[in-house]
Amino acid sequence: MIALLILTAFFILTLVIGIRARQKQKMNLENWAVGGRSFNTVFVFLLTAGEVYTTFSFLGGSGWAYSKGISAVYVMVYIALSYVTSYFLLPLIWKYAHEHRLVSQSDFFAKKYNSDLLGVVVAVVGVIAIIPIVVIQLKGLGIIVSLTSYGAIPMKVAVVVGTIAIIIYSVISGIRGIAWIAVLKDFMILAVIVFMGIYLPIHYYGGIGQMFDQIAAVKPELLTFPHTTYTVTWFISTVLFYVLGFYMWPQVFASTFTAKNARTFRKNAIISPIYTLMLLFVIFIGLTAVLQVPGLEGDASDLALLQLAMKTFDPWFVGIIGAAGMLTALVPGSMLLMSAATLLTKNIIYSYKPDTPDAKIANLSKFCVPVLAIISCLFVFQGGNALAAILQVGYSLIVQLCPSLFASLMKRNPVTKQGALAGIIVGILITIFISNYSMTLATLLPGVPTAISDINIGFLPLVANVIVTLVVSLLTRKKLGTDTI
Amino acid sequence: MVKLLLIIPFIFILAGMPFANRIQPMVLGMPFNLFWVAAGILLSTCILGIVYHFDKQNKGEEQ
Repeated sequence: MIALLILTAFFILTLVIGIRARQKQKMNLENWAVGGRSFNTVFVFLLTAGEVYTTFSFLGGSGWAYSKGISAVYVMVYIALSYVTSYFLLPLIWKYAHEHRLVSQSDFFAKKYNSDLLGVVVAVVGVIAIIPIVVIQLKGLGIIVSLTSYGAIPMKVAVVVGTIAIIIYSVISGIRGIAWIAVLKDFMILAVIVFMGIYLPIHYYGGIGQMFDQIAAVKPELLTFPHTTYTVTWFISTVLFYVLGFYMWPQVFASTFTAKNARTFRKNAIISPIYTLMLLFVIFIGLTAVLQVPGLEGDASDLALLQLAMKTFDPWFVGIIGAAGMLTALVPGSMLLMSAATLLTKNIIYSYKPDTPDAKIANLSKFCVPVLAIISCLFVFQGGNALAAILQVGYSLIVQLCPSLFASLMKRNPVTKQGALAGIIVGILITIFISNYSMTLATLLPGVPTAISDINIGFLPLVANVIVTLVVSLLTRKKLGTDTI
Repeated sequence: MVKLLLIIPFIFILAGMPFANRIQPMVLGMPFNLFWVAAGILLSTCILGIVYHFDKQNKGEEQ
């Protein structure tokens, strides 16, 4: 009962913060979608670095450490190295977007390549890739709230109520509401994760070192990268693959556009990797659970953190953990839905009428938030798949935008709009085929050395994308001399 | 030119992992591979700080 009260109190607090964030702002498209490009370093940090703490890192990260051991560090490594790339990448993106008053990722591609068709394709890819990630957040929300309320709130009810909250504050306050809730979320989640990551190993083993000693004695295979499947080759290729995709997400572009100036990103880049180190505590929690709540198999390993918390703490503290977990779903979930709604409205529905007034686009965007939220809910209720598997599909789709994005940032872009279009489409088609048949390089190329077969399968469509992009660009540049789509 | 320093964290963590992938010696209570990753992330912050410092200095000289 006390856990349910705490969860409800935090839920109401979240709604109030989200709605009050609007203040007396006039919610035109620029204000709603990119905060009037007026956010300071702290808000931009919370919107970009705060993306680290989603339900995936909260449940999926600890679940991965529980079931597959030390290979869970790939999450913190790819995020930290992505911040290193942000130092030179984000100022370039921001500068161009600021000069041309761009609102969405699709605008960026359409303007860079002078092609409305490419803008539409990028928007479609963005919306399709975002939906699985929203599903992760809502699925995580349902798991967290139903477990930490001790079953008082069924999973489906939690998902529906959480979705309604996201719709309310996203539509009313836009990105300002999300930024203010992100402040509460980051304080809560940091406090909970650091406390649990230190307290639980001490409580059960006498310390972090003793915990590793005991795991090394009983399950040493969890403490090194194995010789099959999740090998060092898999680790290196997966980290590089995710680094390439990290800044391709439409919601990350939207966060980038909110900044006042380019210096914001350079300052944020310095402190962001340290923020990622907090994920060490998530790994400690997952590894603590290995010997304390054994027997969680398959998708159930995502429950390791919550099962251990319920075994250890009083209901009032479980309620606080649940509230922190709930916020890790609400903030990224709303950011994702807003970005998808803006893409869908501005760059797909109204792409044929570029002179449509901003007010009309803003109104339809607000209508698209609940539509996309309901579609995501339906996918959650269909069930299936662990959180990490869903994340891989989303990344495999969105990373197809990176060859044409990186090329567009070069002083002399070697890629034509035809090449960019062809590469993205080929990459997406191969990704869908691979995901549909759950292929890996080991199944595609039986007999090759593990140094090759363990490379992340996502590189296959990406390499095909690069080859097609360059070949088509070469042909169209020769044939047309200039671009004419 | 100084931005080329940003490649060091990639080399340290990723190229170093085949050599660091072991439990012993435990450092700060952590298996060696986990310590290696944490050290690499701290190194990233140091290098980003150095690059930012030089960038700022260069911009000051230009002005």
